[in-house]
Amino acid sequence: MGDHSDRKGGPADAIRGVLAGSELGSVVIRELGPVEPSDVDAILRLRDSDERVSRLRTLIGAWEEQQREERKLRRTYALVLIIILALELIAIFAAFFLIGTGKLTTPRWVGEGFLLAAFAQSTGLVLVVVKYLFPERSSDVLQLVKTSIAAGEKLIEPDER
Amino acid sequence: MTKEEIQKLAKETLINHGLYSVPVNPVVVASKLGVRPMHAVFSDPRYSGLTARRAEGATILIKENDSLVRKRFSVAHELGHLLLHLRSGIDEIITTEADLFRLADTPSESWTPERRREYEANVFAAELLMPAELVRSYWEQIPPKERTIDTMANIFQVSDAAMAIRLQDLGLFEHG
Repeated sequence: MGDHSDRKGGPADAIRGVLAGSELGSVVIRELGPVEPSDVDAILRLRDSDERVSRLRTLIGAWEEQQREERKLRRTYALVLIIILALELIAIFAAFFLIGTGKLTTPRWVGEGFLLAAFAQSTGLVLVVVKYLFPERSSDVLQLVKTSIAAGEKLIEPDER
Repeated sequence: MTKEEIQKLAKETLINHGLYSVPVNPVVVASKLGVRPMHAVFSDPRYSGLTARRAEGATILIKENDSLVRKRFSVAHELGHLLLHLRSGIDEIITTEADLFRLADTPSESWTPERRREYEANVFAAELLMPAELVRSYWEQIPPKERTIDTMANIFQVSDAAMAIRLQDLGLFEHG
């Protein structure tokens, strides 16, 4: 039931054609959209509302499923990354221990470079986990729910007699 | 046309288009008759509907912010004008809110043609939305304790006032 008065070739144009040249032009300030059967039938209105709720429920169900799958995937990725990180830390500490006890001899710059690279890699992995595995929560679905509930309430609000 | 003739026309309109059941949707009736009612904003807040017939076709406009039951009655009323008063000629009729309450009156010789026309459109609208036989049938089906104007108005999706007048007109109100 929108305002179609400006749409070219729309119903409003048809009315303008019918009313053109008559004094009715001053009676009708604005022609709006057509009266739909559901505009004058409470049962159809309720059915519309029911369909809207049903569509919304399907949408939320699909969104929930998608979220669940994504969470599962993220958990798997996180686990793999944590294992890699743990192995790497073990390797770093082992190398550090071996260098410290003199069982492993490397030039100074290799040892320093190795420790620095390992630290950078660990930090990078933490960054990946924080940034990509836990992205900012999207409010799109919440907005959609709010809009749909508001529209549904408008649809089923009682009429004044 | 007499009241009985108008009522017969309304009933036949419903039967001929397979719409003789409750609740009657006047927009569907209009579309079966080739008319698409439109919402409009009128220059005078007292205006509630408008019917115009031109060479290109007929148009029904109803007030956009009216309630559901008022819109139903307005569309049915305008259809009455279209079928009773604008059958062939190119003309237009503007309905005011006061015109929608002319059903309670009893026709008199002193009435102006306009007043008579509005009364006839209301008789048509009442029969279209509350067909006499269906009103009687539902009235009998409803258990006496639940037999109220409000219940009947909800079934037929009309205002309590319109249903009260209709029940009185059909002689059912006293029986309740």
